[in-house]
Amino acid sequence: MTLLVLVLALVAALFVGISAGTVTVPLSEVWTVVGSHLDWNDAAISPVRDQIIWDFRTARVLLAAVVGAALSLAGACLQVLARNGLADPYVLGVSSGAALGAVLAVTLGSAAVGGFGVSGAAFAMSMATLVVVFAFAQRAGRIGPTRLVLAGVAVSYLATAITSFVQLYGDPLALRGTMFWILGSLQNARWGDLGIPTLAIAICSVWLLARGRSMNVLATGDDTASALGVDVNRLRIELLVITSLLTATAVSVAGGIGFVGLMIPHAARFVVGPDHRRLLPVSALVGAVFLVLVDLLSRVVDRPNELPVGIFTAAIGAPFFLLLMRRGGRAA
Amino acid sequence: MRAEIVGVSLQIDGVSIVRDVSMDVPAGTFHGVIGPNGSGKSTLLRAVYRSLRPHDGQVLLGGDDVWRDLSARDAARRRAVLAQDSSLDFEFTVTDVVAMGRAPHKTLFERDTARDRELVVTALEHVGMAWAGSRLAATLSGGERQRVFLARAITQQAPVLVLDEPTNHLDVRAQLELLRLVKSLGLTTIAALHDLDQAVSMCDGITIMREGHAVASGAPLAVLTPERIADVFGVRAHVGEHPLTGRPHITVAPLEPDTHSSPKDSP
Amino acid sequence: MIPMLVGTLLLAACGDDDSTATTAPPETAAPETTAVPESTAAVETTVADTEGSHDVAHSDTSTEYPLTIDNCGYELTFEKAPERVLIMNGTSVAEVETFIALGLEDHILANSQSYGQSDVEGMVEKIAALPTGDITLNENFEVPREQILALEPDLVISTWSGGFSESMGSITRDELQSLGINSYVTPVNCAYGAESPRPEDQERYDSQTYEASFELVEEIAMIFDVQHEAEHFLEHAREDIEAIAPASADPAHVLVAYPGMGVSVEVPMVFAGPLVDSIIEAAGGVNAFDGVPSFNDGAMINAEALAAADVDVLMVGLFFPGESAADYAAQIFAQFPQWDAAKNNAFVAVSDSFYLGPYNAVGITKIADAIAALG
Repeated sequence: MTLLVLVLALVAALFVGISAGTVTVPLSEVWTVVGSHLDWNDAAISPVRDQIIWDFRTARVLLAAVVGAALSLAGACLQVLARNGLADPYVLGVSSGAALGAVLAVTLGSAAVGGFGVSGAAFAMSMATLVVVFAFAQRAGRIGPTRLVLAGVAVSYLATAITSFVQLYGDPLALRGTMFWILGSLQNARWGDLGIPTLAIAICSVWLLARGRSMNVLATGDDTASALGVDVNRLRIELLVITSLLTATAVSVAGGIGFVGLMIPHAARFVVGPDHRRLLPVSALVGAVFLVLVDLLSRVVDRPNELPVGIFTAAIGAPFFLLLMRRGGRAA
Repeated sequence: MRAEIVGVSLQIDGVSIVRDVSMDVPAGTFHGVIGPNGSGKSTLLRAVYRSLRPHDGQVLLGGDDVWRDLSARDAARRRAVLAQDSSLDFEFTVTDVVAMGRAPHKTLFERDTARDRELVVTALEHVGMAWAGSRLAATLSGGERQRVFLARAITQQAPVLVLDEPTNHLDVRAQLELLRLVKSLGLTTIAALHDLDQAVSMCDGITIMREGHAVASGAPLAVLTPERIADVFGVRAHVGEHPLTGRPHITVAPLEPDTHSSPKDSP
Repeated sequence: MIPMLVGTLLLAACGDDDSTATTAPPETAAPETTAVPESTAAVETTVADTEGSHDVAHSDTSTEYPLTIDNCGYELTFEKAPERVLIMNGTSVAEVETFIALGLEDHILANSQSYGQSDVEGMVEKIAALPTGDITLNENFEVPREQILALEPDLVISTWSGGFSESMGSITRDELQSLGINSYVTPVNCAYGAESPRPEDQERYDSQTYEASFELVEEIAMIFDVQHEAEHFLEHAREDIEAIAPASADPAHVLVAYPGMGVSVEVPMVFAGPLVDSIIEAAGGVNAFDGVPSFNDGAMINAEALAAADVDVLMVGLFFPGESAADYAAQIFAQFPQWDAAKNNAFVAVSDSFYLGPYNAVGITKIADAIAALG
């Protein structure tokens, strides 16, 4: 039931997101354009309208949904992995790692970072950051929740410091546009950006749904999980890879968008409880709806200006989250 | 199902915690592992529930090596665990927690069936916690929580049960009730215990551990002599008959001050 | 917080120009530079009736010291022309270029202003050749207060009031005054960064045009007693501007894009606001994003709005040393082929002449030429 409502909400959000935008286009025309690409009709459409509606807006709205879902799933996984509700891609330094990777790639050249492109370097560094954080957080094969957050914050600061240093002393011409990685934005979204993240999230979702029960068990402790037949180390590594994959693909197309990964899983937990078999799909859907709507705001509040999406993720998300926390039947 | 520990040694971060410990627990018996804090009892049990891989030796359940012959899931269908306490950071209900006992019986996408739900209800009834099904597990008292975890172990339907100091934080009555419930299951049980009196009254066999070694193993009254108790635990002990139950009973008192500092030298 | 970050990043780039500019090959931007002030346009034009009006200003003006002027409500008194001038703020070049335009290089003790490119031939090199006083800028790209005092200047110039704010790590005007050091803020920016700006300063800031650039030249000239040079310089600048054909009834739409400041080249940072708009207007065009509310200075414009915009001429703002306007234009035009500018490949590169500073006439002329080329 909840899932059905959320799927309908996502469809509605996509509809509104594609219908409204910086440039006002009549609703009928918007959907004529979209329909022509989906072979619903073969109406003649102006190339400019086509570019606005299909190339820019539709691609962007879909990317917002994919990135929102990916970040929320990643947050939900990290919170289990760390057994800590404060864990999210931002807190654990994944986003700062991605920014560092991008900045290194543009300053040192992609050869210096293993031949990856800028997105690839962002991806690789975010993955590496997470591995380093977990390596520091574990002792005797067990991960201390507090230690994990501390390690994440420390590594995150370190990555940010190196990024700032590189930005100060790097070639400014090469560095143009690198603030995108730090601030996060969906305004660069094009159809070409959608393929890999969509594929990643599809694979990860299926994998995660199969592991929902094991994740529940892992949430109650390593020893309990071992006792209940979960190969804890293997599950951890798998979750680590999945989380990195989700976060890094999201960051490599949208930069470091904060708040979503931390808050959406909690919000979802308030609604459906901690069972990951329900929590994961609900988180993904809520995250997708949330980011589509928040991105819509960043596009239309101060037309034709773009406002940083991070302002809205926090400004809309935080009060909503606090309200949920206060009213939540399940004590936080 | 018979449980055997054969020459197991365990290390944590390269430090040897358990050295060459063996024990044989016949099917349906209750075997106690006792020893002072830091003697390695809990670490030894981690090898049984597949949380810490032995450096050397084997853990056999029904003749199969837990680490080599069985997957984590297969092993979990042969033995359940009741530990000191479990993390409850996430707000699972009592039913959620107990249903987790079905995890080793499930394939990847399999949903809970009517039979699973029935097992959960039966187990909760068995431990007297049926009333608490929709409560958040985190809101229960320590004794209630341990009974819920026991219900989870019951739904696991494993012939072997591992108890890791399960009565540690419980009051006297809750301790006795929990152990009575465990006994009533009639499973092959390996239990790390703290209380000498509990051990002598509950166990069919006992292994005493000190500094990672098994000091003695055998029938309770044969192993728990006053001399050995003084040697291992550094207390004076009287072994007698319980005035109320008629079962073996141990009472303890401090050693004399002059022998306290070097208990190993006492006879 | 986020505009701060953006700002910091831009500043980071500017702050670095100094070193990069000196190492960059001197041919940077050479094709786009114009010799000033004797631009060919000015020489060829007949300016008979405008010359008459300027003749009035050709009075025998020289400064009498002590000179007292009002600057953002501060009364400044000069006993003589200052000799040890510290020019602050890496984010502007208006002040240092004014000094160079007036031949006042010798009065500069230390300069921390620079820009990666210039529309004026030799300007990047001239700025690079100025003494820097071995200043290390702080994290706000301001001159730290100890360094200001150690240099023992007799005049400290900031392009904005915020340059004398304690929160930027700089020294306040009151503190300087108590040490007998004059401080000067570019008049149009008195309200900018001020804690409680006077209404008249705010009004002046909000309605600035390129005239503010000329006023700065005039006032600096007065302080240093080089008013004749200023008159000569401004006369040529105004002649260049007045030589431009008046705007048609349907003026060309000019999009001001700084690709180097944007999220990507395809989504550049777009500039609008009173100063920018006045420059485009003087060139006979109109800003493609004219009249957009809450849009002062650079902004990120949504790609949809760019797609829908009416653009006859693309003004590529160069920002970093080594940037190529033609490459940028090609990339942006490929993204928005529907623009008339894209169809006609109509673009013009402008760098420092588009900001507050003495060379706005150069920028105006360049844009006017690009509009004229549309036919």
